[in-house]
Amino acid sequence: MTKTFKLRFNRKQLCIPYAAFLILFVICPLLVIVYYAFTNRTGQFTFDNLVLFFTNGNTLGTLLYSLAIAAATTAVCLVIAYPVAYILSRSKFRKKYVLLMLFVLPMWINFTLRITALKEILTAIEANISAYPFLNTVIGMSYDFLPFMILPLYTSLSKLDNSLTEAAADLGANNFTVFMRVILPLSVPGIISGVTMVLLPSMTNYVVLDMLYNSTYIMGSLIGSYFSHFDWNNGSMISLILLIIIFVITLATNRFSDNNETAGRNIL
Amino acid sequence: MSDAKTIIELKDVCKSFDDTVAVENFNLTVQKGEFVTFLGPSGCGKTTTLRMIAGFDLPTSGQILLNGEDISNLPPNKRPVNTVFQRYALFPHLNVYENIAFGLRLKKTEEEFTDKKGAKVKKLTRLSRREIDEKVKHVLDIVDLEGFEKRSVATLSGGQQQRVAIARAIVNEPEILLLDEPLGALDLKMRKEMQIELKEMHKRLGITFIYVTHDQEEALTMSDKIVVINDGEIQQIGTPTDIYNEPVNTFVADFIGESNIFNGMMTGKLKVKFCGTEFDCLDDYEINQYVDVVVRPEDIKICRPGEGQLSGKVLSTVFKGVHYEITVEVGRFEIVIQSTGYAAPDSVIGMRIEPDGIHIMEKVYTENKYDGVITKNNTVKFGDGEFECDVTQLYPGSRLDEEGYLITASGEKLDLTDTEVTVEVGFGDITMSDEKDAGGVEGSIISMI
Repeated sequence: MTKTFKLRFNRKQLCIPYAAFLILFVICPLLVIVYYAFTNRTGQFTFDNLVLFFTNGNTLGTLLYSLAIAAATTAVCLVIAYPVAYILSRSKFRKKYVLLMLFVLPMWINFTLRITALKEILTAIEANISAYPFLNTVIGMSYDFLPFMILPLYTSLSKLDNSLTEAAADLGANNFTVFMRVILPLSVPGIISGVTMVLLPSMTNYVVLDMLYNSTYIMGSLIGSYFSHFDWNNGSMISLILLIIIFVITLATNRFSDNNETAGRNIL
Repeated sequence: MSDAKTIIELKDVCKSFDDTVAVENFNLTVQKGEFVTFLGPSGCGKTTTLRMIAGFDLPTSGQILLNGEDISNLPPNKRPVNTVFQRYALFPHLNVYENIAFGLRLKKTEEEFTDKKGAKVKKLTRLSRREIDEKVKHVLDIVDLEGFEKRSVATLSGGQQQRVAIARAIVNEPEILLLDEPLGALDLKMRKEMQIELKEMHKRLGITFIYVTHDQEEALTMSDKIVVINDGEIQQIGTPTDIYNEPVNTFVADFIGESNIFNGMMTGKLKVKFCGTEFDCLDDYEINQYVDVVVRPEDIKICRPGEGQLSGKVLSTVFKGVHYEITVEVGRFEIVIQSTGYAAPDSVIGMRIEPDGIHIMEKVYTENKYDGVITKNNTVKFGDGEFECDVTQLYPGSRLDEEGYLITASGEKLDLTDTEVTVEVGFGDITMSDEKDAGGVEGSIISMI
């Protein structure tokens, strides 16, 4: 009895550091953001910030622009990553891990260093990189987030039982049909988690944009600009709205992946 | 069956993976409607052979003929053959209905239409929704899963998944149904039930079944024809009764059922000696030939000590449900007996073996053996050469006289010229020479291991 009691006690204790961290650095700041979002400069309760967000064409435009960049980045990553992950999951043991490492290798290099290098390459190609802000941002972000797309896809594709594709071929399916009706539907969980891992950070990440000498704003840089002008209230409101948008997207993809046994067919 | 039609024929099929040979010189013909079983230990090449028939693996050499046409290099989706996989391989993202309808939705049938100008045109059409519906319903009825259409395959038990896998294959009305150890994952009772059901299904559908298993009992129960495979080579092809009662070699005898295998020697016409005792037997081999003797455990009858041909001490007695498995020590040998009667350990019992319980097979060569003839000079001629030998060993106590006649111990004078003898040469007794003329026999080396 004493032994089990002791074990229980210890286990509870183990999560104290994390709980403290969570309260100090996540919950408290969140409460501060909520407080700022619904007050004005003098500290009085107000909905003005919320109203301003939806009436100011500039912020709404930035939101749409961010969504467009995030969607484009995700699409590019998916198109590049899927064939790679597929080939990796089907290839023989040894070279597989070398290839996989090659794709994950950029993650070992410092982020700013990578973007700086990319900037040089883009400058060499385009001469004036500020002329193509959308394209450059998508390229930069795809470059950054590609491994996050490859890994979940690779995991779900390598779990796919070879006998399933054989069974489909046995039942009369040619290679294309095997892919469309067996491989693709069964990799939907991997696609969803890859999309989530690329879409969400690319909506808020503004470092890439900033470093590529960009004049345009996305959500992240908009919040940054408010804060740098000491407008805590409006900045907080935008942060809060962005948080809610991300929460809704996560909720939607989670529900989707939970039902993927039937959803896999619906997607076709 | 005289009107039987050959449906599939494997001609000299070989398959090797990198450097390992999986299947070697596989020759087999299967008649339409037969239930053929590939039986062998794991890794013997039986599944590889099945996969070559299905089209998942291509043979390294040789031909696979289906209805006389070479299909060796056709992809699986072009073959009128369907497979039931070892672990079912049901599509987890589809429900039972969609799993079964998978093949039907891809199927195209040729139909004749009359176009506007009145000319007849052949067109490939897919099956209509109603046709698919009917077929799926019908096949669910066959496998006893009515009302399961909407169920997800993950919620089914092993036996039910198995039935779905079978339904998914037979709904396409294949010419041959391939089954790769389909019952391996089921428990014993379920396996027995499915065996009977599969056998009935085979009778009802009239499709040719090719079944792969390592379970000899399963093979004996279900098959019309068993192909025993070991190390990628066919050991024996025959009906279950043939294989069980007349195994061609010790591997088959040992693999199919339990066996006592002895070294024996033919001591007379229909007489064989093993375990230090002479037995009557039914197989005719040359006298003095070394043979393998196989006796099934259930063919050994227990009797009182001294009454049987053998007697020995019981080492152990294990209850196996229907019978006892009794191990008996007879001289240097251990004999396993299956009997419904009980024998107490450490007691001495007698054993009787009837002639039809003794199966004799030729020994795989352990030494060189030739038929030879004795010449005028009392040398022996075999192979291509003549060799000096000591002919007195044929008759104990005999000697040669000056004229070359053999005088036996009792004083009889014998002329051995043209007597046929069996010559044995131990492997160690042959010396090889590079010079062609030095030896008695010339030869080329066939293989060196």
